[in-house]
This record gives sequence, structure tokens and C-alpha cells, in this order.
Amino acid sequence: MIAPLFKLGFIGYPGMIVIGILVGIVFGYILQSVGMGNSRKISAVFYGTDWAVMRIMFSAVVTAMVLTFLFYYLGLLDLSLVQLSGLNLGGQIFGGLLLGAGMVIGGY
Amino acid sequence: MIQAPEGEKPYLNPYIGGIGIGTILFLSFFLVGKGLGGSGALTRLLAFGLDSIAPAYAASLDYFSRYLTGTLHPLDNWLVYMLLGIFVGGLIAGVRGNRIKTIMLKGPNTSNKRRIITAFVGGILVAFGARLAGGCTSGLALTGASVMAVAGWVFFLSVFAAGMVVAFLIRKEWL
Repeated sequence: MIAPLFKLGFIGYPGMIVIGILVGIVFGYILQSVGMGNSRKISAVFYGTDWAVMRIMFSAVVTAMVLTFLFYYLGLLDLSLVQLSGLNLGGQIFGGLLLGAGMVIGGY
Repeated sequence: MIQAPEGEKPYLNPYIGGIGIGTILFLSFFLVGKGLGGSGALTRLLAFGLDSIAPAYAASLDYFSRYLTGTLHPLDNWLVYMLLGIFVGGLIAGVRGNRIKTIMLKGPNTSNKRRIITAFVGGILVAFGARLAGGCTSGLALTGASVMAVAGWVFFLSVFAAGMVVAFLIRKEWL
């Protein structure tokens, strides 16, 4: 196991800060470029008139999943050290319903 | 399909964008051991703001005090650094795509006034829902779904279930 590099001490705290900012820059750049700054494009996924949201979401999920599990099975990435949100069924169902309603009403 | 408004650069292919986002999500896991997120940093900003104005009140609220009692500054956090980057990255893409301008994005059959009200109401629901669930579409749905976390998929399906139903009810606002 060599990764997560930060959790295992191969990257220091300042390195984590730099990576956080760089990851954010790429994330923000892509979101804006694909049109996720356009409320009409986001809301259109709920009417089936524009599938960009789903295409982005699923190609991102599949890409991240393949890479993550590849490195996990190669024995390089310790998934138990990756910080994830735990299951909170009531909160996630009810919160998800509210967020979904808000997403189509507000468009973001 | 919704095209970029007149005068703007056309939107990037969603599959290319998705592969890019998936790659940086993997890199976040691999390098730092954390995923992407949007709403967590805003909560910290709010906790920091409230602590600056009314520290006693902020400390009395369990929801905010957990961000204020640690050894680190409430804004010294992975998600806050990422939010800073998201702002910069979005701005660069906006300038490059000729998207920096004032524009009212709304359905063809609704008024500007109605659009401002729906944006406000929608924003409140999104913010409240995200905090109730403990994350938003980035932190819970995208990050969670990528590692097959049940929390991520439950949230993702709930978002789209409600979205589809409410979309029908308010179709005059967008169609």
C-alpha cells in the first residue's frame, strides 16, 4: 500500500493544500466548460430534453470507479483510509428528495 | 439540447468533461484520501462568519460548534481549499468561453420576477437538503457512487426521484 499518499505520510500538509486548490481549479474549469453553470441545461435533464447532467455524472462515476478499483486490486490504494460519508438512510433519502426538488425549481 | 447562449463558446462534450472529473476524483482518493465536495465548505464559511459576529451563539449551536472547537481554523480544510480552486477554475473557464456577463437564464414562458423567486426557493431547498443528507451532488452522489457507497446511491436516486416529480409540477417554469 502506498496510497492515499497524504494519509500515509508521503505528502505533507502543505502538499494537501496545493492539491486541494489544484483539484478545485480543474473541477471548476470542467463544470463551467460543460455547461453546468447554466440552470436551463441542468433542469432540462428532468424533462429528458438534455442529457448532459447524466452523461457527465455517469462517465465521471465509471472513470473514477475503474481507476480506484484498479489501484485497489493492484494493492496500491488502501480504500479503508479514503474518507467517505457514512450511511444515514433517513437523512440521505429525505435530504436527497429536498435537494432534487430544489435542483429542478432553482435550476442548480 | 440546451446550447450555450449566443456569443459564448459551445459547451465541452459531456463525456470528455465526465472522464476529466472522474480522473481528478480518483486522483483525490489516491493522493489525499478524500473526495470532491461543494456544500461542506459553505457550511464552514457560515460557521466562521457566525463565529466572527456572534461567537457565543455559534458555540451554543451543535451544528456549528463542531467546526469551531478543533485545533485547526474552521476554514483550514480540504473542502475549503477545493472551493477556492473551484471559484478560480470556473472563472478561468468563464473568461475563456466568453461567459462573463449578466444574463437571466430561464424558461421561455416565465417572467424574470418568477425566475428570481424560483431561484431563491430552489436554493433554500438545495441547501437544506444537502445539509440534512450530509453532502451534495459532488460529495455524496459523485464521490459515494464511485466507490459503490450505499449512501451515495440512495442519495442519488432520491435526488432524481424528487426531481422528476417536481419537474412535471412546475413544467411551466422551464418548458
